[in-house]
Amino acid sequence: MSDQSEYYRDEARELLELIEQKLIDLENQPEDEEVLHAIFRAFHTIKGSGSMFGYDKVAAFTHEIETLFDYLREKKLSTNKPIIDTALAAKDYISDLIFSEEPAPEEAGEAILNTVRGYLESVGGTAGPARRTDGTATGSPQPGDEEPAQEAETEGGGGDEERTFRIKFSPQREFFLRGAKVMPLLQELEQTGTLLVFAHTGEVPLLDEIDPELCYTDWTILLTTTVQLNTVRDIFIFVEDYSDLHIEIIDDAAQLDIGAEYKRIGEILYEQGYVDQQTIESIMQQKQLFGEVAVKQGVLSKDALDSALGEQQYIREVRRKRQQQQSSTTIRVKSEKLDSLVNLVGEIVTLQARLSQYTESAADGEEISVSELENVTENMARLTAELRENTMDIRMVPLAETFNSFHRLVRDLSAELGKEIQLETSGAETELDKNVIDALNDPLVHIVRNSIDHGIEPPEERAEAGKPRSGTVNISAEHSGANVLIKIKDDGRGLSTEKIRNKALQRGIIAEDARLSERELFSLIFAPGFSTAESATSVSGRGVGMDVVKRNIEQLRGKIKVDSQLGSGTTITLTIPLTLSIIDGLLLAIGDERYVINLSAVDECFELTPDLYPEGQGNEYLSIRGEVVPYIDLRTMFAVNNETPKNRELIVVRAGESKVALIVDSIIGQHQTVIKPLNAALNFIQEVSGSTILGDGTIAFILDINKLTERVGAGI
Amino acid sequence: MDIQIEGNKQSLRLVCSGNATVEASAEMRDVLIDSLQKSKKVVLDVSGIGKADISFLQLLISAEKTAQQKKKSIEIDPNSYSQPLIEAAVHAGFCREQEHLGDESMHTILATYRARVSQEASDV
Repeated sequence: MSDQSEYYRDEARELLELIEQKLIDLENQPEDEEVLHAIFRAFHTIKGSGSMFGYDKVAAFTHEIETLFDYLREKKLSTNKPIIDTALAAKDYISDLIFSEEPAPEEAGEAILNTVRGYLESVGGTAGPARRTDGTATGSPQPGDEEPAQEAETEGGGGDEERTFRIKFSPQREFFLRGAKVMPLLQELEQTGTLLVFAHTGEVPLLDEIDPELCYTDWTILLTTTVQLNTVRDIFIFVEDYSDLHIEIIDDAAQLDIGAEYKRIGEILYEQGYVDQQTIESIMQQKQLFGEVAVKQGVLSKDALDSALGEQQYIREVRRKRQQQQSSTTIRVKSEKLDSLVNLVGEIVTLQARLSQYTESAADGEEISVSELENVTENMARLTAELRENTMDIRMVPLAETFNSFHRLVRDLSAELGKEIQLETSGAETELDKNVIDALNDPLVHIVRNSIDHGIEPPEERAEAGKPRSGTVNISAEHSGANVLIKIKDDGRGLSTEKIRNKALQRGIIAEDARLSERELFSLIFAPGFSTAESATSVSGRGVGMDVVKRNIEQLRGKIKVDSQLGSGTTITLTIPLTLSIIDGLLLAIGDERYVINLSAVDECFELTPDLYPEGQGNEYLSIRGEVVPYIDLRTMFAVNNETPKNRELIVVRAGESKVALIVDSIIGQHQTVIKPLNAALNFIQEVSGSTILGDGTIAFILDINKLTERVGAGI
Repeated sequence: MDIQIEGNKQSLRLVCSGNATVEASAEMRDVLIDSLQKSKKVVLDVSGIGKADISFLQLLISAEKTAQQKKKSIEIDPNSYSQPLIEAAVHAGFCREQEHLGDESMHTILATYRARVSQEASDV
């Protein structure tokens, strides 16, 4: 090895060490420009001297990483954990390329680059000219191909990863006259995956001018498939002489860490060649929905907008589905948590050895003292409790990732709607059960979208109202007992009780003469089919939202509350239980069956005495210390036929604003309840949210207090 | 393809049957031109259509554009059901099964027909 090469390796080693250290600094201080510059310079030097000393692969690879940091420096992208993870992986790969005896696998590098390209493309960029990293033959690209189309073929063997192609297919006018047909092509495409087809009929002339034997239509086809680009291209092989074909990959499962969001409408239209950069910029200045303005101005046809919107929604769906699949399979656990789990297992093994020893001694006829056995039992109890706590703890993950994803959402939406919005988050370190976090994501997205769309006013309106032009959405999380409180607060226009009332009347949700408190009016926004925005926008959808949000939160045994001040903003508070799987329960008996209710919902318990029934009235209410409380006799509800015990008991529970008394046969006591989900076949039983196995092996059902109290509300 | 014409100056009904393919498209075009000249409103009955191709779909779009220009109206009767026509239109991207994917303000003659047909189906 030459001295010069040795010199390069020494320098690279130092630089790579520096990169790693700075990347970790950057993770803690993402705003630190000095750190960003230092990383950029280090990659730049590795690239520059790499090509000087003949490390061409290193230079080509590093070029794209350098571009990524260039974007970060220029604030086209903002630093986040995935980017840092990718950069760390890139650093490792470069180190491998330079120092490893075995040549590093090219697929690994290609996967990293694909991720990087994903980031760059997410803000409408590409990695520039030095994108190819190797000299491998990749078939024969067709003339006129778009650059990104080539990427499909450099992906190594990753054959079963799903990707979405955008196929722009424009047949020549004489297409049909040559005996070619469109339908069979589409059918053949459909056999390879899922299709979404948009016909563009802007060129179709009036009846006087049309020659019905010519083809005036062209198509945008989105194909989600696992087959390679070449396979897709081959389908068009017989018609390529009479048509224009452009195929691009617009979504790729092999690219790691892509969020569920997708390009903005302007970007899609630009990529598809419907509008130019200038038009985009001039329309963006108007700060209104891009597509609508463009169609109104006549620079864009309706069906081009249709296909762009379709593409945006389609890719979002594809990505969301993929994320759901991924999130259900993996969980990232801090290694300390695993360490303490392993320690506990170690202790249990020791304890088990002690037990075996006792058994052997006993078998040999030796006497074992009760106190020794008690000691083992105590230890066992302690270890089991710790093990339970630890295992639960492993499922606990911080909200940070969820919160971080909102920065992008807020950024994109506010630009799309022409609003200026700051996102503040606090309490991102708060941990929740992994399942809860996954289930929370959609409702949170919806609430934040609503705040941005309906809550925060446009800058001009804010200025007129004497508020700062830029609005603020604040998401915070904090512990509160066995719950976590998540608040989404905006300083927007607040909810108008008058508007809500009118809309509810219009939709027939409330009666003309209904008298509702402010709180009750606010809660109407969770009614199905309700939306206060005068017109639905592409952002917050069409009034199918808040009711679903409420339902999702309730499925987590959580609560949702709205506070609002007209003119100064709205706060939505979610109260979410820490974990789904264990609750402190109250065990009770009705007939021969046992039931559990969540202890946190219980207000008080006492014996049912005749004086609780108000005199002369029907029997729908009890009078508890002068307060009228509706009650449910669970014997009646569960149609228990055996003899009613003489002395029965009463449990007063609370769900939201309402109080309900449950009459039960007897209260057994407090019970640590491990919740088992009900079999799907039993899901129709709304009043039961799950089951648990008692110490003696029998099963007890867990009652859903919210659903029970709703029954009372419904007059049952 | 066979086209029966019923009605008057106010409204004409074109009852189409047979294959709506490129072979029949010239005839179809002439009938459409003629009908839109004679009458304010043209309604297509497509229940007898056995097969439809792109040329026919294009022709419908062209007829719709022409009607708009002449301030007249043309529509497909949602009570006349043609599975082959709907399949062809959905398959070739002239309308979509999942309407939420795309601009919902797009209301072409075919999209409206498909939406109304499925509306009638769900009303039953």
